[in-house]
Amino acid sequence: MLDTKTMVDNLIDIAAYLPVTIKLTIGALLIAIPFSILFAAAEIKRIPVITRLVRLYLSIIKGTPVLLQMFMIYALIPFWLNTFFTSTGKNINIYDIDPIWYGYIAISLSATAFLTEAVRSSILSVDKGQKEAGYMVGLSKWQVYKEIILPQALTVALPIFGNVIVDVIKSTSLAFTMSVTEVMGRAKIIGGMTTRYLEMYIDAFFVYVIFIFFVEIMIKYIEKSVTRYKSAR
Amino acid sequence: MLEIKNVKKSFRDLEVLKDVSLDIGDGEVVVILGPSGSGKTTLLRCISFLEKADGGSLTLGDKEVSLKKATKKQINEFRKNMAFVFQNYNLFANKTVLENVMEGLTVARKIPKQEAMERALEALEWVGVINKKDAYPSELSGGQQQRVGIARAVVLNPEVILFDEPTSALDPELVGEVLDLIKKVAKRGITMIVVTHEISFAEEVASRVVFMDGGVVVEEGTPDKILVSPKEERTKEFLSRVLPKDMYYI
Ligand SMILES: Nc1ncnc2c1ncn2[C@@H]1O[C@H](COP(=O)(O)OP(=O)(O)OP(=O)(O)O)[C@@H](O)[C@H]1O
Ligand SMILES: [Mg+2]
Repeated sequence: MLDTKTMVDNLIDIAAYLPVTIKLTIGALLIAIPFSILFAAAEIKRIPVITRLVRLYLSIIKGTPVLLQMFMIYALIPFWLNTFFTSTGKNINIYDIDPIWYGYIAISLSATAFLTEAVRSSILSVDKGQKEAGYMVGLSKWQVYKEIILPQALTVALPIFGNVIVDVIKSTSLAFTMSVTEVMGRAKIIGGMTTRYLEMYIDAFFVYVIFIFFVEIMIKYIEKSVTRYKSAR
Repeated sequence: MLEIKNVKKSFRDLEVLKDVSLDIGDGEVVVILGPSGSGKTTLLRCISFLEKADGGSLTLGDKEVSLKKATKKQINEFRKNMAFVFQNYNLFANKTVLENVMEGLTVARKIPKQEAMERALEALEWVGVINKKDAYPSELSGGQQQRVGIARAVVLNPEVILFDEPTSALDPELVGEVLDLIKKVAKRGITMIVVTHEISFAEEVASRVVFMDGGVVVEEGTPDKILVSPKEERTKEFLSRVLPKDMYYI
């Protein structure tokens, strides 16, 4: 029943789209990281209106399906851009825009939400006595953050970051709905051509399993090298 | 000279410090006693600006500052002459013992690394944990951590060191040696305010004992006066609870 020949023949073809998956992951994270740091800072500092907006953002993004967010981004942004370009008289065809950009944005929405939570909780996890001891040896607020709080928060945050990265990798598999051909998208396309969907899904399955396995090893390695000081506990 | 004037502090509608004043001479060792919740920690935190007081002022040397309205700059200026030894040590968890002691010298005071290291090593030698200089705080016993906490304070050459129950998180068998170290600090002539429940320490080391209750200084004086013949009923009652029977002469 299982056509193993088609399955083996197309494994490389599907795996060849791993770079797109990686590109989507990295692109989304590059957008999400600076925003999540700003958002987490806003939450911790309790800046009147901004903190509320950040919280609203978090609850909307976490409270709606990623797939729906992607559909909306894919429908809304071209529409906005089109309106914008037409009204400013620029002759730019929005269909020339590589859809991977919608992918970056759509995936970064939820990545930002989860990273914000990770950054916020890891900073708050550092005992406030650390900050006070820093002040009492004469450190400024910024020095306390740079020398004491952020390094400690990082060791708490890394495992959470690891989980977020894996989640982001998984959510890139939805990008095919925005006509970005990555691993999942390629599996679907070949599945359609050969009508051997199950075989192609199994191929994609293996590509993800192996890729995420390597990513997890890498994260563990980074964690180890950063959390040196806790290993003695 | 350290002059604490009219410190007031409330948390919401709980009035924790109701107008506390203390005059402390150079090199004095003032021990603050008092029941739990009497505001001892809050007083130390207010005069070190870790907590913003609702009123009161602090004079150190010839400089005076409002505890309520101090600017960042003033706070930094005052903290340069002040160190704090915490009940739970609060050593920087991501730094080694040596780095903990050097931090205030290199980062805050911009002292060259080499000189800072020499001073830090000397301080660690002095408190007796030089053999642990490359360990992280989590690898130390409570007693060792508090020694490092004291080295971190002493190395900055402050005029005043505030101790908030420096031995109450320690295993009983370690209390004595840390108290001995604090006595050694006192001999250096640094002005000290020590909140503690160790009455024998107060008796031996304090130049003055302050008894606080309910956010006010109930009574203060020499250890003899306060510990042996207190005037106030509240002091007597407190001492009868904390002193072993044979030490209590009243
Ligand atoms: N940050 C805070 N928020 C609200 N209440 C506080 C805060 N800090 C202290 N308090 C309250 O203020 C009162 C005095 O606390 P403080 O810690 O100064 O007492 P203390 O004399 O040091 O007691 P102990 O001997 O138990 O350490 C207590 O009732 C405490 O609950
Ligand atoms: Mg206390």
